[in-house]
Amino acid sequence: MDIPYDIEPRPSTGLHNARLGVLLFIASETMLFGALMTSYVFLRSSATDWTGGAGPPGAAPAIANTILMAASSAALILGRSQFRRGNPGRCRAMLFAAMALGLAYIAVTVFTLDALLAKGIHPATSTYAGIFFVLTGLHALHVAGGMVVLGMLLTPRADVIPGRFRNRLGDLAVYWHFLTAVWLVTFPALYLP
Amino acid sequence: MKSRPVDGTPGASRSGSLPGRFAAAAAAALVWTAVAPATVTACPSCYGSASGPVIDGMNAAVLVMLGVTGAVLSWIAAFAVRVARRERSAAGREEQR
Repeated sequence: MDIPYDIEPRPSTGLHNARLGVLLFIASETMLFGALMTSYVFLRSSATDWTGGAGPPGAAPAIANTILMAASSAALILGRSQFRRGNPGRCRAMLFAAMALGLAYIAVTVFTLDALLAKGIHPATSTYAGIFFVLTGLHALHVAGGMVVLGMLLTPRADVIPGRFRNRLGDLAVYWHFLTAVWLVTFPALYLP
Repeated sequence: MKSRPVDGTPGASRSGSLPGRFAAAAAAALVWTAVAPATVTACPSCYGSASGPVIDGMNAAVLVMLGVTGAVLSWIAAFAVRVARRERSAAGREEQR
């Protein structure tokens, strides 16, 4: 069965179906991260002892993560651009680069959380530690989910139908840029004093 | 599965009428209040206790949540307007033909 507007944009919305779905998904994700940021504001504003002796970990991993997320977003932009120009090989190279950068982001996050646990700091240590583990962990899980889709786009026959592949790549890029934006909000909230 | 009427029609007799159910719920709430009054007491924040860091934090959090919700709803409203405009212009083009 053919799904209408699977590749071409639907006239009434100007978007293909999957993009509309992704945008609605991002709206719900905005509410999820917004609720967590609301919790953060409440906990931080009302805390008499915010960190409870468990201050932010060093800024170096956070700066590295910021660079990694920004670079992976840039790699996806370049990948889309290469595909539009008819260079599927270079597009794949960019997608592999985005995948590697995403993996590095997750590795740095796991390393950071593991280092905290090794110091005896866990989510129950303080309200700061609690929201830190939840926000960074949830964000890393979202990046991992995006990488599953990225892996699907890197399978050999993923671009058999070029129009569909182009749309899927665009949908993933929109999601990935959203994750980068979320990190740019999360990073100063959690790491700056 | 059959759908169950929620008004006081004869079909709703299995669970009683709406006023009956409301009265049962009210009675249950009264019993609960009598048995465990501490669980239904408002916390100082909800009760409107003067001020303090918890109240300040809650006020800030409410503003953030309103901002996030407002932003998402604004986007949805803007999208609905966009769809309506596109539909209107498409209908206009059809008429011109």
